[in-house]
Amino acid sequence: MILDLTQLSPKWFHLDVAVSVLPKLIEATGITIYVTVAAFLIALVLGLPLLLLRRSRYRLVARPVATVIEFIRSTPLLVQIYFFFFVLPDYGIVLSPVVTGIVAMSLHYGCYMSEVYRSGLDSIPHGQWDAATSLNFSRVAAYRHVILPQVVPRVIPAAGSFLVFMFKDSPLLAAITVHELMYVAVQHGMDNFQYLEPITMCGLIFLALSLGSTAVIRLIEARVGTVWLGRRRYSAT
Amino acid sequence: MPHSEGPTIIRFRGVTKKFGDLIVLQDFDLTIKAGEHLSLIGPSGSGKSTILRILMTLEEIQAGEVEIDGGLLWRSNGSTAAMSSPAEVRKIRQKVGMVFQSFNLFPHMSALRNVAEAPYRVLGLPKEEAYARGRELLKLVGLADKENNFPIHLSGGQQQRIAIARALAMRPKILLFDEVTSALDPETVGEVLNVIRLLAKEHDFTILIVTHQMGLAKEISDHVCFLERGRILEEGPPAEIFDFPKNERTLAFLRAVLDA
Repeated sequence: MILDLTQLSPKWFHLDVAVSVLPKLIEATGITIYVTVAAFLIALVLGLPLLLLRRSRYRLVARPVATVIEFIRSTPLLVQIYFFFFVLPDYGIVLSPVVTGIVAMSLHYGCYMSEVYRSGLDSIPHGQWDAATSLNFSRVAAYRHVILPQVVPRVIPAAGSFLVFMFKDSPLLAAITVHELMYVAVQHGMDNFQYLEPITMCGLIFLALSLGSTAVIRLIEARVGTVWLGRRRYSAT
Repeated sequence: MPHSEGPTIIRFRGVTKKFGDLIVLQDFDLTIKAGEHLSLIGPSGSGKSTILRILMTLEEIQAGEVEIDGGLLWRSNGSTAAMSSPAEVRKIRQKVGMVFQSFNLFPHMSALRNVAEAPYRVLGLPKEEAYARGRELLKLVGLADKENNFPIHLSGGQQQRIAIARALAMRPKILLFDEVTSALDPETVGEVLNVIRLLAKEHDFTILIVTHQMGLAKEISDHVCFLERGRILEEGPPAEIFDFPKNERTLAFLRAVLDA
């Protein structure tokens, strides 16, 4: 070996071990990204109907939906993950750990997204509804052409931070044997009794994922701001 | 335009409007003829804006009847009022256009798209036609060169003129102006008033104006109602109301606004 890695690291941290687990961890990163991004996209979509149902004129719809949303938001994601993993099969629904993980995370964060949409919707001045009505827009058309295009740019920052939260919550899926980053790192530790290096690397990869997704969200934010609102960034007035 | 020649286009009959316990209009009657230019004046909280908002279907009423151009928007139903079917409401609403105090332009659309969006999406005009008409209307309000600007880049007076063009784009018969100059800088009030004058003189809209600009009310309306606490205390041609008010409340109000 041209470069002796052991020379560069302190005694308690074996850089050669860190490097040797990297291929395994990179493979696991693929799973982490897949599960998180899939769950995030579903949560983004799911949040909207959840909000509209919660805002329904019919109490019989609005109340139960509100209760379910509050319930899911107020209980730990880990509990929900276990619940889906162990209870659904009793009802004949057998899903792979990865799919179970996506279902649990998208549902959990879908409820949070509906709250994000709600605050975005509430930030639209009532005059916009008045104007849309005065121009004879139907309720659906007013949402589609007038209200939602104003809500979307306002919710991008909050939605983006949920993407980061979701990355950081994805290790919970190790509990149901999803071979994501944390699972693979801990597995390596147990097999070789080398915990420090894989878990440190795991942390660094999560840091990179968080920074990367923040950068992507910033880009989208800037893009949506300029495309929809002329040159200047839109600031809520 | 001579007053009270045409057929009735708007009729309030026994209308009661409450916000919670607060009664804004009680057993309110008002008849407006087609082509009439009516100014509603009075202290704030007198129910002037509420009258416009009821006509624009932005407010519900608790009792009475409202008729617009032969169609019943609200009908009496025992002691309460019932709104017509959604289809009927949309048909009636088509005939009414409104301009708001705070403009309420769509901030995510260019000036031109603000004007053309509803004709395109709601009336279903072909896009080219909606936009061509939008350009004409922007020209009418003197903003042909601003079609690509977003509201955020326009002055209050410009925004309000675009809001007027936007209302006109739906080809209403009735125009409602709700304190349209109250949120403007003094130097831009004139440009908006000029557009309203033009509409009043050269087109045959029925116009209802809620305003604190007594000059405007005097100049363009052929009928003035003075309201207080949801009642019409005095009404008549502007020359009478402004120069020889009979009611002492009217007199006190006019003194107060003219002094200000």
